[in-house]
Amino acid sequence: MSKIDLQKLNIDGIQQAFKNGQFSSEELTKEYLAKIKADDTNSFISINEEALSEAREADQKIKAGQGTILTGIPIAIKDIILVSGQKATGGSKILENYQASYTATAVARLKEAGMVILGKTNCDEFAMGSSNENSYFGPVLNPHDKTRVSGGSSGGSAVAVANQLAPVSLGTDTGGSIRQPASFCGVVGLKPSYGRVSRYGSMAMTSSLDQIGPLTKTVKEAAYLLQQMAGFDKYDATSSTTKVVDYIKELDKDVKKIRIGVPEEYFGEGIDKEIKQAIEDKIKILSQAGFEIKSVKLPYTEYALAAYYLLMPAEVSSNLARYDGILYGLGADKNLSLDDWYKTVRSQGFGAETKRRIILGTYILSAGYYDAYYKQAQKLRTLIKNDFAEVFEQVDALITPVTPTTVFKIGEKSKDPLAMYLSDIFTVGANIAGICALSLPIGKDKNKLPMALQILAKPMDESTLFKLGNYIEKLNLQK
Amino acid sequence: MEFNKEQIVHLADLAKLKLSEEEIESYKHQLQDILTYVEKINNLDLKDVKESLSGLATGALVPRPDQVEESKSEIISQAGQKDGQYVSAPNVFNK
Repeated sequence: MSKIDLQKLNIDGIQQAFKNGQFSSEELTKEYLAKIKADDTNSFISINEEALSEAREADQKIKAGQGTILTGIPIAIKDIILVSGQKATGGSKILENYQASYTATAVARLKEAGMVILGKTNCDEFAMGSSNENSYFGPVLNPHDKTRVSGGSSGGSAVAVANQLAPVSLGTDTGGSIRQPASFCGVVGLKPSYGRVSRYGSMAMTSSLDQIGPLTKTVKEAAYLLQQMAGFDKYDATSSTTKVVDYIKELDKDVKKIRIGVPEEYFGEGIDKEIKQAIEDKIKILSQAGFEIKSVKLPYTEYALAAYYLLMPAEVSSNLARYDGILYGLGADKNLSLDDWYKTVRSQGFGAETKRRIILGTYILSAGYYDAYYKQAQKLRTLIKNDFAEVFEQVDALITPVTPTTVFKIGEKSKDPLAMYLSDIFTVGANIAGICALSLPIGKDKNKLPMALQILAKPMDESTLFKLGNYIEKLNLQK
Repeated sequence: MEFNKEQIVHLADLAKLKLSEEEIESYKHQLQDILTYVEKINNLDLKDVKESLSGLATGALVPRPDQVEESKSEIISQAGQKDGQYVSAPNVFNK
């Protein structure tokens, strides 16, 4: 059997190959597993020992004519998302040996369609970080330049796709954790609207902001994955009952009717010149192709990051209180008092960034400060939501940068937490407002590092992201 | 808002964390910087603004009916210390 060219494979191509008998899911899975074994980017924390048998099952399904578009397609899953029977470390020492006792709904839906799980990918500890340098298991290397970070917190998932270790992967996005590594690695990353995908089985980091989403090479593949995962889940009370439209059917419909807005506040100081130019060039091409483009304002943009760094640590401090070594996770000397046990387990098990955010969050929620900080941030959330709601009456999609710079070097920002936080400036707004957002690659800069643009749309309007993203992607290919 | 060492130690205690002297010192400075940054929200008059709990439109989050499904063995399967059907924990009363 000839070696499969993994670089050119997308979901449609793989299904075609299955149909033509070019290779089976088992053969394809074997190929990816071999690549993962030989990989030096540190993208994976664990491999699924049942992958080949899952692939064989998928092959049977396809042979019996019961396969659908996702049957037999391998996928890598961020290690913060639970898959029953497999380890789920959350990128942390405190869960180093934890084995998940149930499967996240989003993953269960993909498994129902016959997807094959390759393994769990490396991530910043409990999804906290913008570089994957906060993982207990070490940083993930960027395949475009191995002296640079992958981005985070879904670093492993982004590199898995960028480095042909998996055709598609799942990550989570709370403040940019899918979109930023996607942009740094040159792949597509989608943050669904809040409530679009069930959070059941995704280790809670910031419950009011977290979303599971796909990382892929093309927009259409992200649409296939969202189609299968999206929809109300009785196990997630925050999941939305809004109907899921047929994203694929709508993909090429009325694309030029999409009114595009360019928010002034996202194109100010501090953005890499090449990124700004690349995005402005794309906007110009869209304008020439007949799209209506207008300048819009999002006045509360400058406060989004401050609101994020109030809401997020507060919820983190609360969500991470469960890690106490009793029901699961790292233990300590059983002769310690309860108080000493907790302190020992948590101090040994958590990394520096995690501890930092827990302490900040504890402060924000403490008596005397709750009103000054957390309540104010909740009010700010209302204003930011309104900002976007007003703008989406005038336009259907916004185009912005994803990050102010291209990918930075390992160690460059890790000593200065605030500098690291500032790199989230364009991504956090979407999480706070609960809207949907797509990171789309648009070429490389003069140092051969990936650049990307971000498309934003109103809540539950992922269809617009896919339509516009798919259109721009086709433009990219024409160059 | 200025952090002092006692505050950091107190917060660590609330969060059940034990910090080294170095950690206390470095967190003091880092948290100071972060807090200075986020305090810009005090420039806004938010008196008449209502809080939003999430990005979802305001609507009732209706709990699902309470249907019991047996899952005890899975739930306790990962506990570090078990005593038969029970999960055992360190001594609560020993200070």
